[in-house]
Amino acid sequence: MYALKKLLLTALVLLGAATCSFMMLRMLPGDPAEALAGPQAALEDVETVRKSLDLDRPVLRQYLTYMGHMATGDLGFSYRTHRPVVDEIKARWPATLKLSLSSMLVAILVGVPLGIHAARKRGKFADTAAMVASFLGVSIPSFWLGMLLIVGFSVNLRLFPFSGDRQLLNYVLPSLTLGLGVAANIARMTRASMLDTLGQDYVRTARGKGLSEFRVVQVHALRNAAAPIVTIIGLQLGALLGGQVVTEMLFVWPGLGRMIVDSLNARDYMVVQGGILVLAATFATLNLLTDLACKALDPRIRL
Amino acid sequence: MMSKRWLNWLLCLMLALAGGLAPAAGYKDLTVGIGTDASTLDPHLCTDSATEVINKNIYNNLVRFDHNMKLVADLATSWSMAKDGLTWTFKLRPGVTFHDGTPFNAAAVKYNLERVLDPKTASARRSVLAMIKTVEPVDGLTVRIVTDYPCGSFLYQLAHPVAGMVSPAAAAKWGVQKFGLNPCGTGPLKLIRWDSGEKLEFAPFAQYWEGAPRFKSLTYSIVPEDSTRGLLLESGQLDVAFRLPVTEAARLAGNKQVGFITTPTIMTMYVALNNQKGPLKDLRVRRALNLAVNKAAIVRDVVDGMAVVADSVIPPGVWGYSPIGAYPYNPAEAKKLLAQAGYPNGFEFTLWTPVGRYLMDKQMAEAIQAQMAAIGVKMKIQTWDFQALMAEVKKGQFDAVLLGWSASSADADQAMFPVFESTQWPPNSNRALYKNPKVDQLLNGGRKEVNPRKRAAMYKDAQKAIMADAPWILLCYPKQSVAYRAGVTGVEVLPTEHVLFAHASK
Repeated sequence: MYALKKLLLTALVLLGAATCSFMMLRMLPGDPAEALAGPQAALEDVETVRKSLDLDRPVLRQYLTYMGHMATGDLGFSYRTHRPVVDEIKARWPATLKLSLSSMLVAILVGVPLGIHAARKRGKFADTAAMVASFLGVSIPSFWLGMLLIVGFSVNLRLFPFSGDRQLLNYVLPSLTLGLGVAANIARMTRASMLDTLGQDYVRTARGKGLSEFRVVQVHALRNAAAPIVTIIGLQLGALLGGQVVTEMLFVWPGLGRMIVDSLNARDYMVVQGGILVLAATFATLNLLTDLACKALDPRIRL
Repeated sequence: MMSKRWLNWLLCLMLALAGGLAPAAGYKDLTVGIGTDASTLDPHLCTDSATEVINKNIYNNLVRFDHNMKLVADLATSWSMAKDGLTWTFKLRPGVTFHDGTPFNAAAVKYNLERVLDPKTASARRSVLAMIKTVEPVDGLTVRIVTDYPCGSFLYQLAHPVAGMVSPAAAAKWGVQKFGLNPCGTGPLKLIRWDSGEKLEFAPFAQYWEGAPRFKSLTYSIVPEDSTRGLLLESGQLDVAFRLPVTEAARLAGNKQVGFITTPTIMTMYVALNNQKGPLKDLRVRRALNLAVNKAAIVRDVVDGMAVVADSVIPPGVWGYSPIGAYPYNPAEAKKLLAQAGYPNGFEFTLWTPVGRYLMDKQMAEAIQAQMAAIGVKMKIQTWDFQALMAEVKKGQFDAVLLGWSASSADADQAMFPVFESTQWPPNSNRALYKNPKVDQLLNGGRKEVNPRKRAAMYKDAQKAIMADAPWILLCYPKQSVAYRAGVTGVEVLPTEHVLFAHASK
């Protein structure tokens, strides 16, 4: 029952995302035929292009055609390259996903221990230092951080290459750029959630039983504090998927975000629509997984 | 029986021959950093200059420009125009083949030009060749082209990227939809793979008619962020970088490992004043605005010398250019003219500008704003996304808009007719809504004049008349600069902003 409800809801979300992106693109000033033909094109050439792209037909009909094709898994063609949008996404989506996951790995490895440590040393120097660091992590623009990492580690020290996604080493700098900001968010959430559970009776009981501090924190407290942390990880992963345009530009990462922005600038409607649809689908799937993970961690949660 | 010694000699000879034939011996991989991915590698459909730059290395035209913008032979070796001014005969280069082995000949020329004109191709540059009436092969290597009217700029139209020659066999095989992903021309570069958003990898075409290129491979790496492109060049991960911004170029100027090829372009940057609106209707006001702008200061301080002050509406690289003389910087005279026009205390108007589309566009607008304030004119700046700007400008309701115009055929007709002829008002390209019957007559006459001397005189008169009418605030001709690592040689940069790698090596 739950799965069915969720599936139906996801379908609705996707339909909404497709409709919204379709409508909003058409409300945007700018004309795809003219964008394609260029600012110096003769008027009759612009009209030829418009006709060849079926953009001369009424918007409602374009919408129905698009939806009809979408139902069969056909997301149309790029106006510029004539490549099927599905192919374009197949080429870009894995790069985006891989970078999101590796950034999230960095964020978890840094954020969770930092948050736990801060909670345990509440009010002391370590806590303040950790929170100042996380404050910086949230505030530093990824553009600046990325540039700094490139200049430091790639240009001066020559430790990491920074363009392309072919080797593992290529992941280090962009993952740090994206991951450190997210780590800050996770650290704050971990700290708050841990503070909450560390004050609970069962933690006092555990300590009273003479359990080691490690067991108290890692097993009794962390497990109970995990649900909100997992939730924020899920949300942040969604944000990472859609929000890495700047990092993609900086590190020459052939991801979806860059594809969407480039296509938006060129008013390549089909590609933008396809990209948004895939991001929405990924986001919806992540939400579902997060819900399931929370349920596994805390059986009291009812889905 | 052959002696052992003879066998040894034969072996050595064979090895030497094999070594001489192997194209990759000692050659290196070249990596070129570009800002945006290519759109379509079909020259007949391509409309953006960023992709034309690549296509120019895959395809040849019948004629092409050299670095002085002189027309020279490309796939045609000689040509002549009949007395009627309509019939052109081209002798074609023998022994040229396309990447797929298809021979280049008169039938291929016919196929190509007709492909551009075919409505089914839906080329957005069809009008560049629309004057062509018929294309007929005379023999295998001679082709005759007849135009609808005596077209003064005909050879220039044929040098336009849209007139690039594609392999008829490959084009027929892939069709209009897919040829752009499977390009096949006669040029030095042959596509190996294209990773969308990441890179385009090319092999040298061993049978290239000018001789096989001297590199192992050439990869255009897509590096959208300007400063990243600079850093990659600096760290040696790129051999050549296109379109570095002024700030990056200045930063790298002291680096001994990095060199620059800096050349003029055929672009004019200007502010189109709406000649049909408010105070800007008045010639004295438009002249005053031209006098108020310190062009030399903009060139020196805003673009760091990467431009030349414009002294005519078309740049020196365009055929028909005639130096008319820029409006001097004279704020006192400007104020006097404004007072005569009835605006002693100035007036207010809004300048629209794109951001990052043209060389330092927004920064130029800000410099102009300060200079306008000095003569009491309050100029507001409104910045736009480029596509939104073009859509809005089409409606013709603006006061003034900062733009660049470069005639891709490098001829006065394309450089002036669309922007100054009065039938070309928005939604067409005459964005100043300029109208002068005398100029109209000259521009229409020049289009159909095939005598170069008479034609040049007409365009000179037109440039003079337009300068006197001041429909634009005329700014500058931007330069371009291509950066390369020490050791890279043979890169050819044309004022059309095309960068040719046929003779490049590292």
